[in-house]
This record gives sequence, C-alpha cells and structure tokens, in this order.
Amino acid sequence: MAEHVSKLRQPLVPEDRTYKQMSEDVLDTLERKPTKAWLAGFSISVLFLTIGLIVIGYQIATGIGVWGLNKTIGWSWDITNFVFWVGIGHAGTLISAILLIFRQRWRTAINRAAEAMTIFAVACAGLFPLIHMGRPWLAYFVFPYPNTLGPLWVNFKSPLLWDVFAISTYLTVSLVFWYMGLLPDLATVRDRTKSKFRKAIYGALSFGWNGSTRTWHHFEVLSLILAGLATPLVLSVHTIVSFDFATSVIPGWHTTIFPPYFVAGAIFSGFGMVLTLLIITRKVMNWENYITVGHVEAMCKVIILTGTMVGLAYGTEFFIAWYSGNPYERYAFVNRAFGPYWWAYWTMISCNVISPQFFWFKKLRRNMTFVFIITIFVNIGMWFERFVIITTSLHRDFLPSSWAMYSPTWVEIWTFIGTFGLFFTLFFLFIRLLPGIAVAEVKSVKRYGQKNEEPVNVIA
Amino acid sequence: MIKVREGRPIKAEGNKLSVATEGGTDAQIQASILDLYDSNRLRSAFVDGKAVEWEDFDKKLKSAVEAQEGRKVLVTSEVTSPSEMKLISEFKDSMGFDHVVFEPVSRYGIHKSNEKAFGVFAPNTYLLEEADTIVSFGADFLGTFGNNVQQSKDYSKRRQPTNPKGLNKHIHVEALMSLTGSNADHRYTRSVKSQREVLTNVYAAIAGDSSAKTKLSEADQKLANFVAKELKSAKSSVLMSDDNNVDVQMMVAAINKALGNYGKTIKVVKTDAAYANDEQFNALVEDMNAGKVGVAMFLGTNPAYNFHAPKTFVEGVKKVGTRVSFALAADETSTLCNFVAPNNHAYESWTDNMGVEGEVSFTQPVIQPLFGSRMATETLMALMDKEGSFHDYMVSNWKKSFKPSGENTVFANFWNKVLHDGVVQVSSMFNEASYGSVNASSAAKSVKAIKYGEGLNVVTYQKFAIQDGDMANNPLLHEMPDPITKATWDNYIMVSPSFAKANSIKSGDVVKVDTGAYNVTLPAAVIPGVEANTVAVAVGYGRTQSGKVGTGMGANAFPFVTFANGSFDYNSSFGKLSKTGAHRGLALSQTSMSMHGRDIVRETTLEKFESDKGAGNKPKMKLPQIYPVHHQLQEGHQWAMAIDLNTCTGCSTCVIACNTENNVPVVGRTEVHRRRDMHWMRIDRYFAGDEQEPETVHMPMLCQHCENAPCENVCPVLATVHSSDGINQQVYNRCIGTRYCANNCPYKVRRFNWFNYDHSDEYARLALNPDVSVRSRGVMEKCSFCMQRIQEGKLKAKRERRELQPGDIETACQQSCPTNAIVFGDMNDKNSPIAKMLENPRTYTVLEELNVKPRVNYMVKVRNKSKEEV
Repeated sequence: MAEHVSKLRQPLVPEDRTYKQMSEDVLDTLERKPTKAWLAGFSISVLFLTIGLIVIGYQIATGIGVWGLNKTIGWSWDITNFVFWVGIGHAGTLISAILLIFRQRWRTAINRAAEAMTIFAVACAGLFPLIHMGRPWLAYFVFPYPNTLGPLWVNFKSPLLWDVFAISTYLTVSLVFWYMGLLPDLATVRDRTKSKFRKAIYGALSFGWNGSTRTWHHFEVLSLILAGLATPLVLSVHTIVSFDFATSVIPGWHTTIFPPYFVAGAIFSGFGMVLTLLIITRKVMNWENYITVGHVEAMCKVIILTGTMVGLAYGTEFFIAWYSGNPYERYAFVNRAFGPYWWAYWTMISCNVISPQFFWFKKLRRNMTFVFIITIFVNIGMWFERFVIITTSLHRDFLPSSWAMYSPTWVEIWTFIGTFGLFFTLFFLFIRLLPGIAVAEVKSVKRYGQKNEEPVNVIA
Repeated sequence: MIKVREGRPIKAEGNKLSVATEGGTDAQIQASILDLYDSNRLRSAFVDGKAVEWEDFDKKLKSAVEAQEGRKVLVTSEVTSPSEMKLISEFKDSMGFDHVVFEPVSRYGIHKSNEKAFGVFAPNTYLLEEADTIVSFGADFLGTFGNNVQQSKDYSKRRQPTNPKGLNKHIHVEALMSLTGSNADHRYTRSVKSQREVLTNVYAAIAGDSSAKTKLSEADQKLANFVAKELKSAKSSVLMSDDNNVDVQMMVAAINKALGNYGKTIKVVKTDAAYANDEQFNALVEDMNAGKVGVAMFLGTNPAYNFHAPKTFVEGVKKVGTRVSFALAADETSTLCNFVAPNNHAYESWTDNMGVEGEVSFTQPVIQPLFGSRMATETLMALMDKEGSFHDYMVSNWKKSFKPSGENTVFANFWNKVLHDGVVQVSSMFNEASYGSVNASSAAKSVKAIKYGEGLNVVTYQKFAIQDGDMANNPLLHEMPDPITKATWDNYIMVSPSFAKANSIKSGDVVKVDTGAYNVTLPAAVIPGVEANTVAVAVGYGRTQSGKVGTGMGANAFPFVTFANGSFDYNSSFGKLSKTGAHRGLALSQTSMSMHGRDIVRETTLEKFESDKGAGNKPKMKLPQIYPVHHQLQEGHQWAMAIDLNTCTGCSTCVIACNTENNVPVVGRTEVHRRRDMHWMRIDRYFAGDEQEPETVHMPMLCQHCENAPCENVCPVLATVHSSDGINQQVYNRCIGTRYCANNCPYKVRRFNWFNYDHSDEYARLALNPDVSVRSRGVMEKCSFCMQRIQEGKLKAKRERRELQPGDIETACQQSCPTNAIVFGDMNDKNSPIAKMLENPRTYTVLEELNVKPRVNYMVKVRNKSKEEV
C-alpha cells in the first residue's frame, strides 16, 4: 500500500509520539509532585477565594447595602459578573458538542479543559443570582417545590425563573457530558497508577470502565446524544439570559436583537477566556505538542467572526434606536456613547470590535504573546459590554427625576475578584487531579494529517 | 386630630371641620409625632442641673423669683391661645412680670405697620380665595409666611381653572427660589434692594405719591409698570411682602389700601393674641446686659440659638439672677437656665387657639405625659398659687364667657361639642380693625434712604421643613427633600447659576460666606432662580444643643440677621464668598434639573385652555394597543387616584404623611447621598426655561398601580401581584429581593431595604403604625394606596351595613394635602369625584405610550399668563 500524506491537513499530534507516550505526556502530571508554578498559582487562587468568601459573608450578614447600588440602579456589578461568567461558560460546550457534531477533530486536544472551564465559569456565574438577593437564605423560593404555604408557586412569566431553569439545565448537561467524557481517561489513570489508594478512587470514578468494544460503543452513542442535547443549550442559555433584559421595558434593554447578540457575545467571550487559559496551560504543562499553534489560530478565527458579529449588533442597536423614533430609546444610546459612562462604552468598542480585527493577519494569529494580549482585551471588553448594557440603561431611564450614578464599593470589587479565585482554584485542582487533555480522544486523531498505511476516510 | 392606636398617638390628621384648614396639614404637623416620642426630652424638672420633684421645684422657683430685684420678664413665642393669654395677663399682674414676645423669624414689620396705619398690632389675615391677582414680593405664603395651611387651601381653590370665580393670577418677585415662587404664573428674580425699589415705584403709581418715584433700571421699571398695571386692572387683588422693614410694610399697606383690598382680601383683626415685637425683645437683651433684669423665663423660645447676636444674649442672660426655661428637651437656652421646667408636648396638653376667620380650635391631650413633664401653664399657675389644673382654668374661662345661643343652651353640651369638633366659631373674639387712610410718603422716603453694603447680599430664609429650627431634632423633617433644591439633612449656600459659572463653583463645593461680622462654611447649591448677586442660607440649622439628630447639623445662619431700623432684617448682610477647595456632596433625592424635553408634566396657558379644555393634553407619542383589556379589572371596586398638577404646590406634606402612616424608615444623610431614600411618595421637581428666571413644575410621584404592571411579570416568586380591585401589591414575606421589579419600573417608585433600618429607639418606635408591617432588610416596598385604610373603610361600611361612599377611604397623602390636589377613590363608582376626574379633558397618565395603564392620573397644569410680560 502506498503511503499517503495529506497536503491540506496539518498533523494534530507530533508524528513521533506513540500511544503510550501520549498517555504519559498527559497523565504524568497527576502522578508527580506539584510544580512550584502550580503551587504558587493555586495558593494565590485560594487566597482570593478566601477573601471573596469573607466579603460575601460580610455582605450577607450586613445587607446588600454594602454594595454601591441605589433606588435607580438595582443591578450593576452583580448581574454584570453573572452574565460575564455565563458567557465564558459557553465555549466549552460549544467546542465539545457543536464541534463534535460538525466533526471538527482538532477540538479533541482542547475540549476537556474548555468543558471544565465551562463548568467552573457557570459555578461562578451561579453565585451572583444567589448573593445578589436581598434575602439569599430564601433562595429556594425560586424552585417550584411542593409546599404547604397554600397554592404558592413560582412565576413562570418571569425571565429570572427561566434563568433558573436554563442555567441549571445547562450546568447539569455540561457536567454530565464532561464527566462522561472523562470515563476512559479515568480508567487509564486507574490502570497506570501503582498506589492502591488512587486505584480505588479512580476505579470508583471510572464506573468500572473496561475498554470493551461494547463499552466504547455505548460511549460513542452517549457522546452523540449528549452533544445533541447540549447543542441547543449553548444557544438557549444566553438567549434566556438576554431575556432578562429584552423582555423588560427599560430603554436599552427592551431590544429584540438581544438573543443572537448575546449568544455571539457569549461565544466570543468564551473563546477569549479559553484562549487565555490554554495559552498559559500549554506552556506550564508542556502540552505545546497537543495544544498547537494551529488550535490557537483556529480559535482566533472564531473570535474574529463572533467579534465582528458583536460589532454589527452594536451598530444595529444604534441604527434601530434612531430609526425607531422613540426618544427614550434614542437617548439611552446617545447617553451610552456620550453620557457620563462614555469611557465604559468606548472601552467596550475598542476591546470587542477593534482589537479582534488584528486577527485578519495570519502572522498575528500565530504569535502566542500577541494572541494572549488580545484575549485579555476581549475578556475586559466583554465584561464592559455587560456593564454598559446593565448600568448605563438603568442609570437614566424614563423620568429624569430618578437619574442616578453608580460606582462599586470595595465589597463588590472583592466579590468579583473572589470569583476569579474560585474559578482558578477549581481549574488548578482540575489540572492536578484529572486528565487535562482527553487522552483517549487525542489518540483517535493521532494519525490525522500523518502518514497512513491506507487512506482514512476522514470527513474534514 | 391625632390618630391613636393601642393608647399611643401615631399620626396627625387634619380636621375637616375647620373652616380655615378644611383638613389640610403641613409637613411640620405631620412630623410632630416624632417630637412627642423624642427620647432627648427631659425626664423631670431641674434646678441648677439637678433633677427635682415638681413640688420641690415650685418652692425653690417661688423663692428664687421673689428674691430677685429688677425686671421680671416672661419671654414667649407668639401666643394665640385666649386661655393662655388670660393666664399670662393674670400672671403679669399678680407677679409683676413683663411679657415679651420673641420670634426668630418675625413679622414685626407687618404688626407695627398695622399698628401705625390702623391702630392694631397684629398680622394680616389673607383671604386668597377672594383675590383675582396675587402679587408677592418674597412672601412664601404657601410655605413659611403666615398661616400657610389656610393660605394654601384658599389659593388652591382659585388654581382650579373651573372655579366660577376664575383662575387667579400669581405674580412673584423674589431673590431666591421659594416654594411659593415656584408656583407663580409670572416669577421674577430680583435682589432685595431691587424689590424695595420696584415696590416704591409700584407704590408711587398706585397710591399716587409721585414724590416717591425712583429712577430704576429699565428692567426694574418695566416690572414695576407690569405689577402696577396688573394690580390696577384686577377686580380684586392682594399685595404682600415678607420684608420685615416697617417702612416697606407701610408702603405695602398703602398700596393695598389704595386698591381697596382691606376687608376684602386682607383683614387686620384685633384679638387677645400676642405677636412678635422685635423692639421689645431687643430692648430686653440690652436690659439684661445692663444687669437690669432679675428674672427671665423662656417659654417656647430659644434665643441663645436664634437671636441674631447669640453672644450678646448669652452674656446678658448670665447676668440675670433667676433664669427659667420651659424647653421640652435641653436646648441652647435651657442649658443656660438654673430652672428648667420641661413643658408638655402639644399632644399631652390642653389649650385653645385663635385661628383665622373667627375660628377657635381646641387641643386636648391624647396621652399622659411620657417623661414627667408638666404643662408650662401649670408651672405658671403653681407660681401664682392657683389651685387646680390648667384644664380647670380653661373650662372656667369658657364657662364665664359662655352665652347660651341657638342649639347651645347648656355649657356642658357646648363644651362637649367643641371638644368633639375641635373647632368652634367665636366671632366675638375677633374684632376687625377699621381701615382708615394710610400715609406712607415718609415711609417711602425712609425706604429710599436705606443704605446697602458692598459685595454679595447674604439673605437668610426658612426651609419649608426645618423652618426656624425649633423642630431640628426631627429626622422626618431633615430627610424631607426640600421642595426646590431636593436636598435633605444639611443646609447649604444657595447661589445662582450665573454666579457659579463665573466663579467655577459646582454644587457641593464647600464655600465660605463671610460678612466680616460672621461667616459660615457650607456646601454650595447651584439653584436656578437665585439672583446673581445674592447668596441664601437657610436658618434653623447649626444647633449646638438639640438632640441626637439636630445637634451639629449644618451651620447657624441666624447671626446674618441684623437689627436695623427698629426690626430684625433678614436680608441686610453683605459679604464675600470664597472657595475652600473641599467638597461635600449634597444629599439630594433628585439630581436632574430639567425634564429633558420629555412628555412628563403637561402644561398649558389659561388662554389656550379657555378655547380647548384639553389643551396641552396631547400625547407626543401614540402607540397601538394590541393587548386585550383585563376584564377582571373592570368589576367591583377599582381604586384610582388623580393628582391635579395645578393645585399641587409641591410642599411635600404628603411625603411626611406617607412616612408616618406607612412606617417608612428614615435612612440618614449618607444613605440619601447614595440615592437610597425610602420615600414611597416623592415630589419630582423640574425647571424649564431661563436659568435666572426659570419656570418650575412639581409632580408627586408614587406607585402608579399599573394595570399592566411591568414589575409584576418579572418577579420570579410572585412577590408582587395585582389585586382584583386594581392594586399592585407587594408581599413582603414572599420577596427575596432580586430588585428586578424596581429595575423594570418605568417610574422608579420602588424602594429596597438595603439594610435593616433602625426602629430600635424605644420611644420613636411607639410612633409606628401597627396596621402596617415594618419591613426587614432585603425586601422591596412601595406605595400600597394605603391598603390598611382601604380595608378599614370597607370594614366600617360593612359594619354599618351600607355601601362604601366616596370619602370613606382617604389615603394618607390625600388626607394631609393642604390643597386637595390628590383625589382617591373607586373609579367604578360613577358618582365619585375620582370617576368624574377621570373624565376630565385635563386628565392624563404619565408615560402612557408604554401602555402600562397607570391607575394614578395627572391633570394638566394651567398657567395664567399675561399677554404682555416683562
């Protein structure tokens, strides 16, 4: 048989790595002592998480009044952070589910970390609806549980309730999908380890995975089913989050463009955050062979697409505000760009619309330092997008008598930093305790774009 | 009238039987409940700083009074009670005392001019219902000048364009923006000096005294001509001025006399009452300093704080051997006194009071004295060795003067009736002066000869809430946003926008006003309608001995007052302003000045209104209706409200009434500054037009009880829902505090409990209304249309086995309103006033284009503009 080398496809895995070496590359980190870099990073994260928890405890003990909100601006950093984290939580499932369905095989190296990030981001996001409540100890009121309080039920008309269902469904499906994907790798860890203790733990965690064809078959089928379930969720979660605003009457919120605009923004921000993390991880974990420049470049392309969509949405909003003839709507948008919060608006435009345009250049897409800087801008820009939408719409709505200004207090700032602490604590634990790359899946693309004994039927 | 629940007074209500107030009240009356429960009140009598029993006190005081040589003086605030006056005159005779009346913000100029002109030392009674044209030079007659409740009531009747007598015309000239000025049809900004000059030329024109005519600037002369023309052409008119200069008031009297206003729109009535006499008090302070005074008693006055030269007073009073204070709580004067005999609060007292238009009102206690105090009148009686209580004294007085007439054949029946009604007509106590001719030509010359200082004119004024500072320990009043500036808590230095621009001063910049003799350092407030060369500072602040709320709040402006030309002059200081570089943001409830061209307050002119009753009531936007009507909101009682923007003066009495009725917490300066005031009802104030001479509108804003309420559908837990009678309800127990409802409220009337607000004061909490739950932290609250009053009214009708009638249910804001601007009721009852108002072509709803269908309606403001203006 003649050997066939693809002229179109770059290999996803270096040619010289054997299957065994691939397992070692990924799983060795679990079996070694933690590196100094890991210890340092983990300690800082736990520190921030601790401060965050103390600050949240203080806030719950004292009252929401320790935040900077007022009678006019009922939401600001709290919901900004919520939407920010939910948005970040979009990339993982998109990569693992939608790219699976579209047979984008390059996703295999990054889907595990991206999915983990999704779950951690959603956990951070979920914190805010809880702590932003005036009486968080009654948060269970939002669930339609059977009760003896008379015919007391939740309000199915409220977008906040839709949020409850959307976020919890998304978290559940993402968690199941992620965990299910972990099974073959957990079994590998179990099989490689010499410690009885670890063997027992990982053995239990891998649900008795035995690597039989039957098991693999079930695995593949379940993957597809869950991918099918998760795909609409990627679109629905942020659609529903956008309903919090779109179904209201407030100028600047009351906008039908919000669902696609929010989904595009979420994917944009999610990819931004995935890139930020992976550029660090591949360096720190020595996974440059698996998370390649090609991966980064592919994600940059998604960023430029979604960034431009977001830019288009900004423009459309402005146009429609003018075209509607509605003076409140017009004022809301003029106020965004030229009112007291102009700096937030222009930060958003610069970071989200202008900065991704550099990715039209291949050279820049393949420059890791440059990409890293741009992804930081994207993260900042997307945070500001939510701040602009939420705060600048609220601060000047219909009656000028109630117009007000908002600035955060130290409590809000530390709560936000605390969620980064939570996010990174979980992420550091994840790369320490679980396989950070889906080894089994990467093995399946080992021959991708490489010499083949015979042509493989690969759908590009 | 005081509402008492579980034995404790909880709220003041107006008395509908009073012909003067017709059930109206003002902010101070509404807030007075907290003064009753002020934990800073004194708990016993004191001699030389030691608590003593009353018997002991009486013995010691008697010997201390008898031991003293020299003048013996009883200093009181104005006394309008006939029984108290009788007691005081007996006291004077038997004990050898003088009676001097001191008011920190005095109308002596009017009293004295009336004495000169008509021989009666008394204020003017204004009958504004009779006046077609009202011209006021600085007189804040809806707020702090004269009998504001009665004046507001009368004024508002003529602000209804449908009044058969027609809409009155209100022309206002003033140096700073006042509550009354903000309601005027024509308002002009003029310095105090220009006001006097314009007034002189108006006098010259109307009284025909050409010798008085002065050469004025073109603008001022135009204004004088305009005012003179408007006054002359009016069928009936009234001119008033708050100037305390006797000569100025003589000119005002001469003008009113020439216009034939006395007996029609102004009455000067001789009664037994005692009115402020600046000269007598000033002479007393001189006597004190000269060591001529042996005994001084201070009843209802606090000159150590509010005399214009406090140091002179303090030095003087220290030379007085026996010093007696009747203060309820320790104040600046009582701390200088060796005898302190705390008086009862009005709610613990018996008294009677001569009002206006022949009416006497009665006060009876609604609670036992809370703090071991005693009525000051009884202390005086003890000193005179009079037996019995003041109540007995009062009854015996009335019994003596009682003459059987009409239905009242037996005194006991008469007495029961007056105590039940609270008011009675006793015209024999009111003797109107005979109005002879008024010669003001020498007064006009004196006015022309007044010398003015150099630099900025530093004028003092009273804020509607705090007024002269007597109630400075009342948190409700401090937190009431000023009707004009919307500032709470502190006082500040009001400057004009042009002055601020020229000196690059922003609101909140701390500035110092220095007249050489005195200075204050306060934040600036840049307010449209302030004269460019004038800075204004409110009196009533800067108390050094008041209580935990009032002490140290703001700075004292009384020392800017001078004693000039025989009376206190509140506008005579001149000085300069300098910036300190510091900044202290004002605690404003509203920061935006204008409506930004939005369709919020609709207004029109009388001319347009006469040709089209719906003038000015055209929505700028009209959106199609695609939602079905809520059929369940068509049946049974359907509550609705209408607020007439033409009669609402913006006085904010309703705000305080709502606070006390609904246990709305006071949150303090810092929290208001963070824009977290809790008021369920607020008054939005918008300026329009020229910054120097703006037009102002006031709009009461409260929960609109929208039929399509945007707050309701967004609550995830159904904590805010609609009742079948059309009320948007808030269920505190169910609320988890997402604040989504407040965000989605287009009117921003929802208020969130950011913290657990303090209700821990063991006395102040007695003022809480037991019919309304106190909210804990983390829940949303807002106007409930006084749900508890609706329930009470419905139950009462049910007990009496009858249909609910209009008037059975009145919301707290409606009840307290001195101008009846608020009407509430069942819109399904086609005979009710509310149903009729909803049919009125002036009626509209705010933001109707949102299709939220508010149940609170507003009525277009109609201004009576002259065709020619200045």
